Parts: sequence; structure tokens; C-alpha cells
Amino acid sequence: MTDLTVISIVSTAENALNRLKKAEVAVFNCKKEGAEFIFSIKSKDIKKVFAIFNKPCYNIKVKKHGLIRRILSFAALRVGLLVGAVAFVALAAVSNSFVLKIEVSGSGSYLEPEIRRIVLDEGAAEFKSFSAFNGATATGRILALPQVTYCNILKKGSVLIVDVQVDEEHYASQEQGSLLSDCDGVVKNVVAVCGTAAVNVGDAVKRGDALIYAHTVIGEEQQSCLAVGYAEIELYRTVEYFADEDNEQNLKEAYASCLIENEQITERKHTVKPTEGGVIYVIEFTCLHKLSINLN
Amino acid sequence: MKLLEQILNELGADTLKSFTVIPSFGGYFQCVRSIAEYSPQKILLVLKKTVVTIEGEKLEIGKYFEQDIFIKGNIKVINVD
Repeated sequence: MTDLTVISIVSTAENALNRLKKAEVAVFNCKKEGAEFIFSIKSKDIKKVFAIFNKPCYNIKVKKHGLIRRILSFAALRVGLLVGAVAFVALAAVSNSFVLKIEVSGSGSYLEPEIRRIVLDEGAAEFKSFSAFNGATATGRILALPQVTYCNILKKGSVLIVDVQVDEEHYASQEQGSLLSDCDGVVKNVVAVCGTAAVNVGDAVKRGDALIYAHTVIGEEQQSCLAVGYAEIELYRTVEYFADEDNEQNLKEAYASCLIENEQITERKHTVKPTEGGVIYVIEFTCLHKLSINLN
Repeated sequence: MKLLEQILNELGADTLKSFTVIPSFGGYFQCVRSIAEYSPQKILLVLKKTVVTIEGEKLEIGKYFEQDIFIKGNIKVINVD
């Protein structure tokens, strides 16, 4: 594409064209407008044309500069605007590769603190590059959360959107608050799927003590969340069982009376005390008592 | 164009001195030495031994370089003197 400059000159067309022809300047789109003769030349010939018509009587002027010259002139007059535009485009391009916000949506949004913690663990964070994020692992870990049936992580611009759906049947039947101990004993195992473990293995706990807190810590910030997990407490108990006489069948029944749901006996022993009309089996045993929250 | 060149050569004409006119579009003229007159209705082209008068409507010079000229517009009459 030829870059043409439009020239206006006060002269007869014949004279102007013959002079330009002699100087071997290509002329395009000639037309007369009153006393003015308007024509286009290649932008590179502009100095030559002005030299041909250097006498003041010609009153030569550039009516319209070539496209390149106009672009350069536009740029020179608006350097600030162009620098700003370039900076904006660069910033937009760079910021697009970063995560500036993390959003959790869907019916599983009540699990947001835990989901946020998983996402942070897997490399995504505000003002951090998206490429550092391991999406597949994060999706797998989120799907492993209780009641989560669907998880989709996608990036829209600079926002990382985590869409989590949970089983509708269990939605809204969640138990709020922390997991509390309902007996005295020693913690043998504690697993906090969501929330924060309040005790360590080997700690002695009393009835009412928290085992799993309904909050999580992200960085230095503490956020409320659903407590999900379980704990096993070893406890010591004594049971007395009355029987009419000391025999194997009665001892079996005495032991059977110790069996309680959610408990697993780890150690037991018994003594037999004679009493009026029979015997009393005194059974001392230790068992693992399992408590859980929101694991159904 | 090849056919035209062949005909002109066989007739002993100089192809460089030929011109082409397309009705309602314009014409292409070669071997032009100068322009003696120019207006939207009439253009006078001076060739080596002849003068070509072009008459029509809305005549404009589309391109003029060296000895070739392209005239845009509706050419109605051409006189060669």
C-alpha cells in the first residue's frame, strides 16, 4: 500500500502536472477545487515537490499527511496516553496470569474455609501466579471432603472460582460447633478432616473438652468452618453384674453387659465378690470410645 | 492484451503510442509528453506528434507518472489530431 500525501497548490493543473512530470514524480488523484489544484504524491517525494514549487506564488501546502506521518504525529502529541495504554495492556496481560481473588461458590460454600486452605496448600494465593497452582490435586482433595459430590475449579480473568456442590440430602443437616468429649479419658487418635484438632494423641481429656475446633487457621487468620472428623478416647470403666452363682455362663453375661455401641474393649479383668443370694462380678475394662462429627 | 499487441504489431503500429478506454470508467494513455489543458470536462494530452483531446464528465487524473497517464471518469469523445 502506497503511503500518499495530499498536496494543495494554487496553480493551473497543466503547469503543475508538467512540472511534476519533468521531475519524474508520480501524481495520483488529481482534482481542481476553485483556484486550488489538489493532488496526491508518494510521501517520500514530498521534499522534492516542495522544491519544485518553491516560489511563494504557488502557495503550496500539505492538505493531508500520509498515514505513517499522521500516526507518528498522533503518537508524538499523545506520548502520555500511549505510554498509559501500553502500561495498561501490559498490566492487564500480566495480572491475567495472577490470581487476585479466590471465590467459593455452590451449595458447598459453607466449607469455604477448608476449601480455601486446600487451595492455598496447592499453591494458589492472592497475588500469586496461577501457574504455581496444582488444580488436579486440589480438586481431588476437595472431592474428598464430606458430602462433596462435585468440584470444578476454573480461572476467570484474575479470579479463581471454586464451584463445590454437596449432597442435597445432607445439606443443612450439618452439625455446627466443635466436637466435644462426652467422657473422661486419654486421646488415642484424632483426625480432623475439616477444622482444627484441639488435642494431641496422649492428651488427657475430660467430659466437655473440645476435641476438634470448628475453625481453621489460614496464614495468621482464624476462620470459622464446619468441624468434620473423629476422635478415639481410651477410657477406664468398672461394671458390676449380679448373678445367682459363679459359673461360665454368668461370667459371659457379665462381660456382655459391658458392650456398648461405639466402643471397642482393649483390656479387661474381673473379680468375683460373694454377696447375699449370689455373686457380684466386678469387671474393670479399658475401651476405645469413638466420637465423630459430620462424617455421615 | 496479447491479441491486441499482436494486431498492432502486424499493422506496424507502435504499442507504446496506443491508448485504452473503458466506457464509464476511464482510459489509459501512453507516450504523453505534457498536458495542455485540464478540466473535469476536457483534457488535452500532447504526444510526440499528435494531440489527443478527451472530452467527457467528471474527468480526473488518477495517476500520472513518466509518460503514462490514467484518466478516471466517463470518457465520451476522443479526438486525435
